[in-house]
Amino acid sequence: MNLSNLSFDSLPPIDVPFRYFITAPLFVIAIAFVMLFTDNIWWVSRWQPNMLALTHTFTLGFIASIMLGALFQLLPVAGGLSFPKARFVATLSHFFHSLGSICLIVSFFSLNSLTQLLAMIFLGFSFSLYIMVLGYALYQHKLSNDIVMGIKLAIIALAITVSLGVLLQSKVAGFAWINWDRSLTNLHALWGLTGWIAVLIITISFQVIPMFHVAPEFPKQIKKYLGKALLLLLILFFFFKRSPQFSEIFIGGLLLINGLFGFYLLKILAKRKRKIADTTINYWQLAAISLFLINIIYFVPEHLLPQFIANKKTMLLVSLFIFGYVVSILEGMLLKILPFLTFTHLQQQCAFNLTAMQKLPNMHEILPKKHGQLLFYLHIMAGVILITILFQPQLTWLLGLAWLVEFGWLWLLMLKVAYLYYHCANKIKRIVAT
Amino acid sequence: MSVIVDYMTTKHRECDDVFSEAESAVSQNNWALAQQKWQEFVAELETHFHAEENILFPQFEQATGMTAGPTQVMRMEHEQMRALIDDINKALTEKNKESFLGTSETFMVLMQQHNMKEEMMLYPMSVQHLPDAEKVDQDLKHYCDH
Repeated sequence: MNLSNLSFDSLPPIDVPFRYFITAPLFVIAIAFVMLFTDNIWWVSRWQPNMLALTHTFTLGFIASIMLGALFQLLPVAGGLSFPKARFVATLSHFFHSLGSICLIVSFFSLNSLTQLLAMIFLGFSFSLYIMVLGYALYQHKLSNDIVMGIKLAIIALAITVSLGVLLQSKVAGFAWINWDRSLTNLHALWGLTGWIAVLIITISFQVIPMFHVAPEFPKQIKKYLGKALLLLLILFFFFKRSPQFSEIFIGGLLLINGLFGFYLLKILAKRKRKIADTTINYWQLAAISLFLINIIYFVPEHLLPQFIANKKTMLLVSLFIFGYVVSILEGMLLKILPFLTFTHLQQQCAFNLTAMQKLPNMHEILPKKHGQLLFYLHIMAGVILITILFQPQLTWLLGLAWLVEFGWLWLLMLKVAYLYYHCANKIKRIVAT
Repeated sequence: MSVIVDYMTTKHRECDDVFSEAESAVSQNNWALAQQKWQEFVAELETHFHAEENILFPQFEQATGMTAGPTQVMRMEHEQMRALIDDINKALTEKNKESFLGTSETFMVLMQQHNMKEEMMLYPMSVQHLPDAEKVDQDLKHYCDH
């Protein structure tokens, strides 16, 4: 094991992850306004341009922003790896990620060829920069443990998702490099949702749940093979993507593996020793329940499902996966990450000055538990409305309102935490200087 | 089985268990039990810190020649945790539930982040670089268990 490139104490500047976090809810807030104030028709088919805009609002605008930002923080802790040139990469990558996401979402609505082209260029550049810098650092990094391995797999899946996305977008923007068909779009969506997003979430959960909630370890075989099994299925799927029968089997396999994760998640959480009330636990449980629902809806034969569910099966599955599973886990994690990052950066600035340390707020003072609970209730409410709207699309404005309230509240919480950080940091600076 | 890694990781988990008991007692307003469990936890944790600071870290520094690297960061984090323990002691004396749970949550995340670095990096690195890891493992066990 090479020690020279290990860095135990290389927290990136706090503005690096925070810029990703603070801009993430804005995407959902923006689309909520569109839902509230335009008369678009939604929820007819997943191929509708405004449904593609909505999906990418979540996957690119919200989910990817949070995950890319969190990785800057996670790498030094879990892998002793500091993100090379963190602030430089974050500034460029975040700027073009945000700009590219806006262009892409707008282009779905407007079908404007310039925004389509710009989206491809900006997102292609932003992801390439991030993936290449991190990929090179991971390649050179000699330490390998479960988390580092999982991050490597997730980054490979992200690279494939982005490559497919750029190819698809280039076709839309007028370049005929590939023979476009819907199987490529499915591939892009599956590599994104069950490769990049699920592998990273599962990898991190294996480590943080037993530790932070004083719970038993996940079984060794599950820890070792779950992420790899997802990627293996995705690779196999590539060769059978045009066969509807095989596609169904592979998608079933991908959902089953995620369902298995949900099963162990609930089992391990039930055995946790740390029993104090914790909203993050509620989010984990909600994610696991969503995974069970996904598997039930997918595996129950369509003729046994109520007609209205069978008609909207794909949109229901995607909604539960993105909003019930992924967004739940990310919001739950943010409730820990935001106050802890703030605390740990402030504590470092105190430099063991006792007077300064007395000014340090604890995590509950930085982000009060009740505020986190309110976010959870808003999330549940929005989730119920989302599922209802699939069958009552005329009420889409209500979902817009629910998302506006939920993500507006999340954004306010983030701003409040950021304000408190700068306020305390200034106070500490003055004390340490005297 | 891996020397040092297994034993020290088990010790982390034992500390976590007692920590949770103290937290649960506070959330149920059982201050007598909370005091007892918290003192038990602090004693266990200090023994663990001392074992690292006086046995494992010096051996690691000697074997790798790195005195300003990982072990320095680990020592600094021990001090950060000790500062929070003082805050929790104060909350416990004042029977201030809100302050206790807010600070214990902060302590928990800080401690687990620290443990993660040790379990995933420092301990495996020690096993790899110490000329006699078995002997260090025995010394750690002797110090912590007696």
